[in-house]
Amino acid sequence: MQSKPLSFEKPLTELDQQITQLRGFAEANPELDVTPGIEALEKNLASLTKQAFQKLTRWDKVWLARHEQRPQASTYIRAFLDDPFELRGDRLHADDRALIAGLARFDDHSIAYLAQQKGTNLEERQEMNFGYTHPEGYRKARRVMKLADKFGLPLICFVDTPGAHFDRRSEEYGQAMAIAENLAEMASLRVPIIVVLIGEGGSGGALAIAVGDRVLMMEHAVYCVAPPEACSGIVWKDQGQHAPEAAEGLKPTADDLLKLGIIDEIIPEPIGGAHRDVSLATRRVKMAIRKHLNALLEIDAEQLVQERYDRYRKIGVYGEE
Amino acid sequence: MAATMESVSCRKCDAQHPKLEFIKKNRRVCPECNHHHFMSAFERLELLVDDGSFESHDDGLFSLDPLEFPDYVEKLERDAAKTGLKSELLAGLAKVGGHPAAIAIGDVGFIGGTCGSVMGEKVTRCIERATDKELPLIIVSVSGGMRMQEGTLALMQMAKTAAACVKHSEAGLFFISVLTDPTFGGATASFSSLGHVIVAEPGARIGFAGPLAIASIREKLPDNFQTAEFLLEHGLLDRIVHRSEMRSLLTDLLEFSSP
Repeated sequence: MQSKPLSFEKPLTELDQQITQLRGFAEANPELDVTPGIEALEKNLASLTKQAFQKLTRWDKVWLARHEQRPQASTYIRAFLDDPFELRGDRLHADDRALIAGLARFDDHSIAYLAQQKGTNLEERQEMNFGYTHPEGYRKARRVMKLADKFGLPLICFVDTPGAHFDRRSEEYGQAMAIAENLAEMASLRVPIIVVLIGEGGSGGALAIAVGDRVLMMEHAVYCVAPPEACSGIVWKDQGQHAPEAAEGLKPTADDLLKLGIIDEIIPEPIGGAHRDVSLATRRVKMAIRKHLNALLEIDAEQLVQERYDRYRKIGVYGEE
Repeated sequence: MAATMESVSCRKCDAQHPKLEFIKKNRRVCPECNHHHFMSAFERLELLVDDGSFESHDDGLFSLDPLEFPDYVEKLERDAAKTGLKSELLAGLAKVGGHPAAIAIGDVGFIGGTCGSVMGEKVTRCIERATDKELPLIIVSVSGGMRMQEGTLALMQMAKTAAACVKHSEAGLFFISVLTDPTFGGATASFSSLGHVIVAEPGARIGFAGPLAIASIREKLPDNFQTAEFLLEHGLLDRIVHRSEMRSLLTDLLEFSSP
């Protein structure tokens, strides 16, 4: 039977609370030396966390990637993009808050960015449609891709979505076509594209801003063809009861995808996940982007586009007689 | 009863038709209600290309089970036996109304025509062959979306095929996308939607979100939701074409791109 989502985190959170309480007690009672007690608890927490994280199943990882305290794109943008200027609207009919875009500075470079966001509180989550991107989001993204291409700006994409939005309106506005056109656009951009999968990489909804020269993935992010719940419905014809098996079958973790050649590098997360030490997590993402951006800037545009083509061209596993 | 007297009933209006006539003469289109029934890739090939002109390519490609997904190998074996195909797609070179073209035709009988590594590779090779030989491209799509059993590998076929479409288009070559019942998910969100001209069969179910996702929508949907007619109404399609007129339409369109 499947365990409750994130149940592995509960004892860790409890221990964490104990440590915080003890620290508070120590501050209130400076005459008492509780340092050895705190140190022992911290050591205990570190080893318990390490143990718990070694045993995570793929289904656990799916929930970790969806963790509501997990840093979102806005956290990374604040941490290391300077002077961001947000570009809004698809120039057709709407502006999507689930996918934001803009111009900014990274190190000494002018760049363009695309970022999917789910929101950090209920109000934001509603505004951002829980991260489900609309056709107008993808079309805004395409508009900014074209701008990046025109002005020679490297493109940095932060991917975090449960998937492309689906409803009557999304079908009417050509959700599929909006995604397809982005895939085509990204294939032809003559500027470096760095993709960072920071949380959930939900199918075509993620891929629509995730065709890149380098695809980097946070250690506890996931990326798959469908959420395990939906996969369970499609393959096992149920209401999602086989989601844990589906998660195993889909091989959605960073380790899985590195082996399959779908991502280029795993960005290690702080022990216990990016939300446990946000500043360390953002520093690591920044360093990884810097390293790859500097390397990509050495490559001329024509070669860049060809190498990107070759990168995707070779993905696939099949037999041939 | 003799086999020739066998009858089939229309899936939509239930009208009874003699089987042989229904398949050979009506091409699986109900003469009563015009419902276009599924047809195999082989039948469709015969319908669309000039007799004897088809040169099959890459038919030795077959699916593996790289993710060791539950029951996948059994399903592949079952559908290979059922369809006589090694994969969900026929691809090659042919002539349509005398015009040479690269063509790929999907088969819905093979794991729902879902797109995995093999379909992605065959479609990509087909597009690249068209680019190399400076030929127009015709893709007849039928797909239940991306193949779950190949996970993110299947998803990546969307990027791969779309990139090949870009190269073909940048070479100044013409791509006609024909959508048939059903075309969904990752196929619609990649190569199927990148045709310079996109046509569909009447009543074909076409969309992004699959039926399970749509079933969870709590809003009123029009009767023609996610059909060829719905797409035409919303500016996502150029024309709806009866099966019996598809070959002459393709011929006419190919005239536009002929030197």
